[in-house]
This record gives sequence, structure tokens and C-alpha cells, in this order.
Amino acid sequence: MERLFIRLLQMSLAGGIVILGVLLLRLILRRAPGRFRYLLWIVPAFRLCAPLSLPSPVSLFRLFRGGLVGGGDFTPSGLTLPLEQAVSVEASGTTFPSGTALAPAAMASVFSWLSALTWIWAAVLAALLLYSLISGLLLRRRLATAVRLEGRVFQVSDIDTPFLLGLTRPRIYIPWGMAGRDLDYALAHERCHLRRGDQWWRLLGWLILCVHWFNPLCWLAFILMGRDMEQSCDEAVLERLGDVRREYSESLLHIAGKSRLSSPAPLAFGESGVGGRVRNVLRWKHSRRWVTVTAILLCVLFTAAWITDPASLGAGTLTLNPDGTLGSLEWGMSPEEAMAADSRIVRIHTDSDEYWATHCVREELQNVKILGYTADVFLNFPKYNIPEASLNRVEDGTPILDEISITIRGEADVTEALKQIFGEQEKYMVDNSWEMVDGKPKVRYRPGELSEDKWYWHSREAMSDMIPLEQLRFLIPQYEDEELLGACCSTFAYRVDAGSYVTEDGTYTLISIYGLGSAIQKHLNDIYPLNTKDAEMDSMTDSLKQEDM
Amino acid sequence: MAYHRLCESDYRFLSLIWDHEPVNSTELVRLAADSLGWKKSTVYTMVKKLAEKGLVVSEKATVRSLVPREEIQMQESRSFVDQTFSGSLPGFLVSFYGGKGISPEEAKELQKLIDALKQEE
Repeated sequence: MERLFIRLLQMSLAGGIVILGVLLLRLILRRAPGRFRYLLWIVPAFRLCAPLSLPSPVSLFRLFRGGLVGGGDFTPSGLTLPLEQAVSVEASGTTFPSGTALAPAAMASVFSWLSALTWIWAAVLAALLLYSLISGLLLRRRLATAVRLEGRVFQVSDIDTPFLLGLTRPRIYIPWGMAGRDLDYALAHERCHLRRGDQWWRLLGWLILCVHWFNPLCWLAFILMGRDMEQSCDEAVLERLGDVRREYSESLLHIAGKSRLSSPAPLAFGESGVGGRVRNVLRWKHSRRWVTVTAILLCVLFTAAWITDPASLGAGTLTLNPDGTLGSLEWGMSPEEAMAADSRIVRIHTDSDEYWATHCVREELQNVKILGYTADVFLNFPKYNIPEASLNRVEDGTPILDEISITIRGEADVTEALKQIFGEQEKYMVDNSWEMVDGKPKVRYRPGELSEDKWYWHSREAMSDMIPLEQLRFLIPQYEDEELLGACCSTFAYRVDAGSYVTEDGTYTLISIYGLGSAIQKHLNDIYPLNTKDAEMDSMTDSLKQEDM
Repeated sequence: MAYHRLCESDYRFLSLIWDHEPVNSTELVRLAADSLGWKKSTVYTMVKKLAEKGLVVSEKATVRSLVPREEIQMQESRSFVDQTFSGSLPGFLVSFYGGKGISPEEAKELQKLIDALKQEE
């Protein structure tokens, strides 16, 4: 759940940035038809609820690459303890800032207050939802005795102003005694909401706000969206009824004047809604074509720029020493940026961009006798959340890279690719490649010559099927019980699929189980013996261990 | 007999009973659905509420009023006056839809703007 929360913080930050963008664009579109201002809110709404987004070369998130990439990833400062290690990396030159391989004590404290924050967030979210639900039900009960005027229009006592309520069968409620021009205009306005299904958009906005309750920009956005919604409806009425600006705004004022000044509600502040609406109505003119076209263009550009993520990023260079240990790491950015960036994926530099690698130095690689190469540090954000603990061990509080696994992307011939990267070798170690499909890792390239049972292991998508949960828990103590099945397992899943192989003469031999460092894996059974609940699992583990030897 | 304050909806519903009493409760449900747009459960709740106030009685699935129409009309003519537009929306709705209230100063200012438009025309 903590992971979910961090992910949410990332989305919230990305959404917040987009909201700021909308605020700016609203200034430019101040005089343009209100519906454009209203439509713009789709973009931050998308950002705030979509965990992933589409890569694009025009993404404005490039500007924030130090802080967020990939669905607006960022790691909130203070939570990024692992990255503090990044600085020491540069100094020592032999270690690598990767993942959250931290001293266990530091890790424990981070996780305790992170989990406290997570619980607070969840509690407030639950309270807000409960509050909305109860208020909604109470309101529905109160409105049950509203008396039908005609069709969907109902009269009700004790309200000041007409409004629309209901989702599937929305009704328009008007105060008793409303009549004449006031009624005509009010109905025209509410019917516009009805046509556009605004009740759904408002609900969506409200739900997003409930989830992102801690983000003040979201509150601002919700209020402004409400205003834009109202004002664009006002304009629609004027378009339908012709230029009745004076009559319409007088009616607005008339209705508002009858109501008492309501006590300051949490969502109502600053200029009253009516004031803005009256001013907007008075300003209204039939929009000229060029205004509309410009507005559409701006909106499309804006959407493309903010809804997508940068396609890819390069950021630094990692050099391996001739003996296979890590050499220097040259960041193409300041340590602070690098820290914020949380690099865990390294791009192997080749002539061709076809090949890139997930990165971790593996003992087995020494068998491969790599004689030094240069790799670009590839700051792709951990969309796929590589499990940090499997990549590193920690000695005296310093994370040390002890494995490399390489993921070849695309349909390229693996051995050929490795030749390009490492030069002619006797053996190459290969991870199979993977990609995310519907949020789950799918193996895209499977090394050939796999027997039936290995296929079984490989095509599985959940870690819980691969490594027994007890072992995982033992390995990574910060993932408590239930989290392991959810966030953690999906997190691990890609590594699970990406088992490591040694290739020789076109055959592939499995040398490490599903991405867990083989050294860890080897000791795991000794230190923490498996329950023998799952006989099938055991026999497979055994067969894999044999492969390993 | 001291009457509780009735709202417009109560009054409309009572009128329905006065017009048709004694009225079978199934028939009343139909009548209320047609002329008021109410659901069955709403009708029953309302009958119960008015019965508790001693305004109607429901026996053997038949609803009758206990007070003459004239008496209620007299009572209510006074309280209706300050009822229309008086109360306020539940806090939730206000916050959900944004505040709609307006201060006298702002109203004046807006009226000025509207008047300015009038003069332009």
C-alpha cells in the first residue's frame, strides 16, 4: 500500500503541474468560449487518475526530467533515502546508486513513517467518501418529497437556487415559487447541464478530489472546473436564446439576491460564483471563427504536451572496469537531479538504439569476462518498479551492485545483440525481454530451447507463483503481509519473468531464478527453508537449482 | 391543536388527500405518482409523518384527513410567507456546487455593470 501511495504522490505532483498549466492557459483563453476552459480540465483529470500514460516526443514533462518521468514519477524528497547514496557513489567510484538498498535500520524508519502517512491518507479518503455517501443519501431522502412541476423539473422547499441532481435519472430542482423569466432561464441553464451529462463530470471531479485531498491545487481545480462548467452553460443558453445578456444576468442576480449569503463553505471562496457568471455573461459575444480555431489549436497542443510522457531519456554514463566491477558513474546531471531521478535502469550504449538493458551487476557476468564497456545510465523511470532488494546487497550501509542482468528489447537476435555490446565472448548472459501489457508484464522474447516446465515458469505473471511468499517476505522485510500479494508481487513480476540465461551455441541455460540475485537465491533455501506445502513448487525449485550448478 | 409547520410539499400532498378522501392507499400512491412525481415509499413515509402530526389517519388501507382544509390554509398562509427562498441548501450541496450567495455590495456592483450594458444598447 505504501507503494500505491508513493505512486499516488507522483501522479498528484504530475497532475498539479498540469493544473498549473491549465491555470496559465485559462488566462490566455479568458475571452474564448467557456467550453474550451471547461474541456481543458480533462487533461489534469486524466493525469490524476491514470497511472501510466502515452510516450510522446512533445511531452512537456521533459522539463521535469530530474524530478518526474514516466507517468509523472517522482520520489518525494525525504522518501528518497536510497538516493542519498547516489552522492557517495560518485566519490567512491565503486558502488552504484541503485534502488533502495539501504541500511536496514534507515529503511525501517522510512517505511514506518511512510506507512503512517499512507494510513492517514487512506483514512481521510474513506472519511470523505463516507461523508459524500451519507450526505447524498440524506439529500435524496429530503428531495423525495419534491413536487413535480413538469417532466424532470421538481419544486422543493428550502432551497435558494435551482440545481441538477442525480446520475442516471437526473432531476432539476427549483425553489417553490420560482416563475416567469427566472424559471425559463434557470431551466434553460440546467437543461444544458443535463444535455452534457455534467453530473457525471462533477462526480468524477469530486472522486478525484477525494483521492487527492492532500493536494491544494486539486481543490482549486475542482472549484474552477465548477465555475467553467457553469459559465459555459450560461454561454450555451445565450447561444440558444439569442442575445439576452441583460435579461439573463439580471435573472442570475435576482435569483442570487434572494438567497442569503451562505456561510463560507469549504469549496466556496473568493469571488462568488454569481459575480463571475454575471461578468462572463455580460462579456459574451457570438464567438468569431478565428477565436474558436485558435482555442481549439491551443487546447489540442496543450493536451498533447501534458497528457504524454517523454519518450526516453538518457542521463549519464556508467563505466565498468576491466575486471567487471563498476567503474565511475558520470552523471549528465547534478547529484541532486540524479537523486531525484532515482535511476535504476541503465542503458547500454551501443551504436544502435535497439538494445537497452536493465542493469545490475551479476556475479555470473564475471564468467562472461567482460573487458570493460561503457553504458549510458538510462533514466527511464521505474514504471516497472524494479525490486531494489534483488539488485544489490548492502555492506556497511553502502549499496553494492552485484548483478547485471540485461534485457534486450525488440525482436533482435539476442546473441547478435550481445556480440555488439560485449564483443565476441564464449558465453553471454541473457534476460528474456518483457513488456507491460495491461499493467502486467508479458514476456515478449523468450529464449529458445526451453523445456515445457520452464515455459511454465516463464509464462507466469505473478511472483507469488514463483517464489513462495514466505521467502519473499524474508528477503524483503519491509513488505508486510498483504502488500506482498498486491503491490509487491506485481512489482516483482517482471523480474520474475526475466530469468537469466547463459547462451552457448544457440542454446540457453537458466542460471538464475527469476531475477533474484542468484547468490541470494542460493542461500535462501539454506537460511530460510521452504515450507513443503507446494510439492510442485519445490520440485521446480530443485530442478532450477540443479540448473544453477 | 397546535400544528407543526408544514412545508409546501406537505401541503400539496394533503390537498391530494382532501380532494379524494377517503382514499385507498394504493390509489393514493398512484395519485401522488401522477401529480407529484413521488415514489411509493415516499408516499408511505409522508402518510406516516402526517399521521404522527395528527393531520391524517390511515386505517384499513384507507387514508382520511383529520383536519379541514380551511384550518390548515389559515395556519399556513402566515408561515409560507417567509418560507419561500428562506432556508439554505444542506452544507454538502453548497460545497459541492460552490457558494451561490451574494453580498449586497457585490449585488450593487453587478447591477451597475448590467445597467452599463443597458445604456450601451
